[in-house]
Amino acid sequence: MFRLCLFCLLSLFILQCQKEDPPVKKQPTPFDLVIPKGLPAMNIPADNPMTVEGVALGRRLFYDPILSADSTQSCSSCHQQAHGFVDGNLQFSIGIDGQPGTRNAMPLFNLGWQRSFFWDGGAANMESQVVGPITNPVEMHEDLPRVALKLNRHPEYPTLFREAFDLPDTAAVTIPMLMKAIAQFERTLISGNSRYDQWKRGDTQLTAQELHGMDLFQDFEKGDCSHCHVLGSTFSDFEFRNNGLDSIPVDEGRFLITLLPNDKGKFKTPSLRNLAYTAPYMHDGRFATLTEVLAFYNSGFKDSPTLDANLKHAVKGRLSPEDMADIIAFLHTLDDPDFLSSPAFANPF
Amino acid sequence: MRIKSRIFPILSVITSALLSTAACKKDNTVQGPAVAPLSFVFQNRVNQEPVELGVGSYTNANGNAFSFDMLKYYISNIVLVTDDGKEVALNNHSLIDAANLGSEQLQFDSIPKGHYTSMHFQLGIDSLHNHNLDQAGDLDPVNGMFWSWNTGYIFLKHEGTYRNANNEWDQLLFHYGTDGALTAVELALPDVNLDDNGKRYTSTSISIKLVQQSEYYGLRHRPHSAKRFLYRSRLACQTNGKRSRRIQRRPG
Ligand code: HEC
Ligand code: HEC
Repeated sequence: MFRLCLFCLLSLFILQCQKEDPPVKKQPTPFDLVIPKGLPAMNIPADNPMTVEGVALGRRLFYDPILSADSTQSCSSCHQQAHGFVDGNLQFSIGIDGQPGTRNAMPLFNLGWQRSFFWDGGAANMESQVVGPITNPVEMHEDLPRVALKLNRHPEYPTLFREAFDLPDTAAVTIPMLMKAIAQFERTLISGNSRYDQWKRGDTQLTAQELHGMDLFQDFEKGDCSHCHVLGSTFSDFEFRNNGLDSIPVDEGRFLITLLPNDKGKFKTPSLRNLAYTAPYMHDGRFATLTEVLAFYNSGFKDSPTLDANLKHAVKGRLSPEDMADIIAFLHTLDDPDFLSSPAFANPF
Repeated sequence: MRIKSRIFPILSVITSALLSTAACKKDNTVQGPAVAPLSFVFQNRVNQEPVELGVGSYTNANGNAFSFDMLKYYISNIVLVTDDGKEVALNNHSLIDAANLGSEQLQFDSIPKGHYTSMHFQLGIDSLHNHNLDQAGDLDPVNGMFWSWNTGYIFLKHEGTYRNANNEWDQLLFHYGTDGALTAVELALPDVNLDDNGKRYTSTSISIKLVQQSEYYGLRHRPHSAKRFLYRSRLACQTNGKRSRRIQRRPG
């Protein structure tokens, strides 16, 4: 019904347009998403094709505190480019009401390859994820009708939205458009120029220590990291796994979404790119350094019914201090300083 | 008639199919429009009492008192079925909001003529549409009918107050949803004849009684426990009595 009516309105509008012979409307320009060699092709949803205007709008919204209840916080408050898009290396991010959340902010890069969002995968897709932080009481704590109102009253946003989504001059800004625009920007946040990537492309050399670290990373008897942090491009299998942080998990992770007992204490395997900038580590930010992380994987992981089979069989103390240092050296080949300084992702204001 | 489903407590939903008619001609071949208007009115009841927002209180089968400040739900994929099995799809997803009187009536202007003997619809959002929140119209998140921490639409939202174990009024937030909660409702339509031959214009009023089960009001809403709770609530629902009566034929 509603759609039918809308259609009538639209066709009416078009008819009127034709009568009045308006200036030719500028079509949004398709966005040319450049995927660095070595990373897989990205799936873009058919109902949200990327455009130059859409990406620019999404970037602006990402940096605009207009999306929070008291206009003090934007997405970039907790996701800062200089920190690989996590917050200022806090354990728990602080929302507009000064309240901390219960999870460590996640770095934002290579999101276009993820199958779900948040530590527990609760958000099913990038567009849907956007309304989470805006409405979350311990984050931006804003009502969506107010967001729509503020955007529609803004001197520039209505025009920017119409240009990005090729809408008639009378169209109002809606929440689905806001979600689509931010998702378009998020898909551009690609990190793929680390020394490891350059080495894979044959453009640089890795040191003997780094190469040894890579061997240990893959060695089933040693690091055995690549079972979950798949070596290659994304450094994650995007599965939910219990890596043994607790025998009785405080945060039940994936279980909160699926309610399957077998999912207790499981979290999404994170990428291992840009670790130099994204401390502290794990969903609750419990480890401040990679040395602590390696000590944990070497001997600190705890048994529980849902502990991943790969770790159940891992021998405690299998890594020497040199082994751990080598793995860390390898991990740092995944740091991508270009990503942190790329002007395309910087604050546009 | 029993409705196959797994759903929730306390409310009686009465669907009435009201037929209002256009011109009626005797010749069924060419004359007269091939379509007729039809509207559904959703009336919310607790037992026999109509739901009113912000006033009064109701008592469920367990003797718990509660009230309504908000009652919103989705009715999706309404399909009419003719006596020879043809199906006519009417809507996609419609948000019924007790605070918005207009939304309680779904008006369809051009139903193909035919003798309709049953209908089916869903309470909730089908899984094809339940996992993307960037949808327009009644599915726009601006309507507040979604979860962000676990992507999906809230199928039914009842907010108000309830009298807790200490006999104090406490906040009630009941948010019902997830794929497993989608409730298919199938109803026989004893006598809906949209046919310019038949000359019968009838209205069917079917009340669906959704009987509340235990735990409903014992729980305060927390985002994560709410969903767990939803899985625990079980449906006992039944239509209570089908009534059909003729309404006056309008002059043709
Ligand atoms: C108050 C701090 C805060 C603000 C503001 C914030 N975020 Fe986040 N973000 C987080 C935290 C914490 C998580 C991890 C949440 C979880 O797993 O439950 C997260 C997770 C994410 C993820 C998931 C990444 C992944 O790999 O799964 C995305 C995407 C994201 N945020 C985008 C945004 C966008 C877009 C905005 C602005 C609309 C925003 N965030 C605002 C703190 C914040
Ligand atoms: C069984 C699968 C599995 C294996 C094997 C594994 N990890 Fe992990 N890793 C995970 C999961 C799941 C998390 C997130 C856990 C959480 O936060 O609850 C994680 C988190 C991390 C983090 C923190 C990242 C961040 O952004 O906070 C680092 C660093 C890490 N792993 C490195 C390694 C290294 C090095 C190895 C090999 C010694 C390894 N992992 C082996 C599954 C695994």
